[in-house]
Amino acid sequence: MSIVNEGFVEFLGKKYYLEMLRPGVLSLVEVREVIESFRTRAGQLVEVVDLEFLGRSLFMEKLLMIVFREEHIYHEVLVHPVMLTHPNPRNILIIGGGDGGALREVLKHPSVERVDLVELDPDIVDLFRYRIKEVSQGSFESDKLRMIFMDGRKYVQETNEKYDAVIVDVNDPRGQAKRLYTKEFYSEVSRILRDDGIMVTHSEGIYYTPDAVLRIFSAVKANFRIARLARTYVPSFRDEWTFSIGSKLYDPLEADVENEMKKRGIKTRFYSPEIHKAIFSLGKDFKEKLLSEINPSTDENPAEVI
Amino acid sequence: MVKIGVMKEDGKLYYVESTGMGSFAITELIDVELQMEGKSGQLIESLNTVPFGRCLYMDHKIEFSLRDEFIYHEVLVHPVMLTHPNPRNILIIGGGDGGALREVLKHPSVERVDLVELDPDIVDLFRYRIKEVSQGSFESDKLRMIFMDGRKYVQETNEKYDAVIVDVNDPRGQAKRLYTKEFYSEVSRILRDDGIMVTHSEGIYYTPDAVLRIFSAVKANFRIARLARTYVPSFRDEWTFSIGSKLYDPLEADVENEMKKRGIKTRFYSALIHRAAFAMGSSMEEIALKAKPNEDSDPVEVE
Repeated sequence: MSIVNEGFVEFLGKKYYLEMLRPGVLSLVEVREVIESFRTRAGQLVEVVDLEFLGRSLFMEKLLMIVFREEHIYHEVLVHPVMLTHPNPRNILIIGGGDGGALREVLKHPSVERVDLVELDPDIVDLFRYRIKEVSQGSFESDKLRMIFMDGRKYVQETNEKYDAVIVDVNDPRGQAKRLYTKEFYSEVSRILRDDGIMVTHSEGIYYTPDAVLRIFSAVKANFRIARLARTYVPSFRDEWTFSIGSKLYDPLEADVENEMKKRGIKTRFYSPEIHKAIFSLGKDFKEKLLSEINPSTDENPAEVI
Repeated sequence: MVKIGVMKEDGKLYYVESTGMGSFAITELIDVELQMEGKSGQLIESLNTVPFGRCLYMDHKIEFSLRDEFIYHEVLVHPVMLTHPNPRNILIIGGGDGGALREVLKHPSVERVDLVELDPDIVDLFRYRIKEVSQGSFESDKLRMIFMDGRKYVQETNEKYDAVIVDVNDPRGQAKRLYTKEFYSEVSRILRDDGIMVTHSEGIYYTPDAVLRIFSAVKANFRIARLARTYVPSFRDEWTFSIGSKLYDPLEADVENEMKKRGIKTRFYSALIHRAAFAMGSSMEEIALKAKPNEDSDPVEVE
């Protein structure tokens, strides 16, 4: 077994997937079947693999991005806190989210009139629209959806649309994606939000990349009157994942989640009014770090994960 | 099978650990600090790791990392200790690393702690050689050390306790007997009428059945039963804690006030974390109601 080569490895007649989560932290999982393996036109390596125990999962650039049977934890906690905090979200922008999971959750809100989904890589949408349907569950066929294939930052800079909620669900801050985690970007997002608009971005894991979490949250905070950090354990990421929320008017801590869920008829598998409350409590040690001086992620010096 | 334990590859040291169900965690090592066999035959390894700092492995399974053991020990101990208004006599079963003891001793009302540990070599290791976890707590006048099987102790003792904290190995082999309905009934017997107990009860994601069956076994014996959870990075799962209580409800504890009053200082746990720890995902709550309690005749086992 070589630790140097990530990806598929053979060991005594068995096939495994070797993944480097962080420097010095590797995971080896038995592979039952390789379902898809290809490079998208935008150059991303996509591998869909049926893993022992975890089941069908997607690796992008050799990192485990989605375990299909538990993606609902991530997508529900990404979407519902902001959607339920806004009393009447009609126009929604999803940046990234080419797997259709965020879209599926957004469409559960009956007030939604239109969703614009801006995704860089059409091959990802093709994969999740036509071949692997358990994440999007038909949501790409919605009449309310407008698909736009372009760079998310460029779209936000150029559009004249106004939104009630913007949901940023893009790759981790590496390479080009770093531009979608900066103070300047969130200021551009703020511009296309209505006066009572709200945004959320996932913002990395507390334990392995605390600096990225702090710097991204701080970049959101610099642009919004109300900023809140939520966290939930996402098994496939093997960390407590964070979500940075910026809001112009409504405070997620004051949302009447129970009532709103009932009124809107929102059905979830993981998220609940109790979970809503729990996700905004941070451990004492991390909370203290949040109060210390933090350099927000900026275009000049963006947060980055290895 | 993949080879478990210390491995050298391309000039670097790694530790390969089976995490069950065809999954392995590979951790880069700086060095191997100690490898020994305990009196009860357990393989004990203390390793300096790149990502988690110094970690202790027992029989090739991670016990804890020095970088996050406080998360585990604080959430194990303080919810029950703060729920009880005046915990004086405490029993810790297992806990030979001294971490639970350290947290228990922060409560000024505590008069005596009995610590029942099977393996004296574990205590020696954490009392004399690796002191960062116990932080001198083995020297407390309030401590009485008892080296024997925890279940046997509970069956035979005439002592009564305000709180019992079960901090033993995962349910494999002999340790399985410390996770059953019958055992918790024995624990209930040695608790005072307002007593409270807690046991750690495995990870939600990788071993949901074990969590449900252990919690259900606690629940079968106590008027009030609560399941708490917190993410412990080195365990690579959200870890659970099953609490059984005869009188006081952890959900009604005035944690903020009690912490202030008792002068409890923590690194992770807080009144907010206390509340958050008891929030379960909606699907978990439904499943928990249907679980079959863990019993002596058919005890749950983790890989």
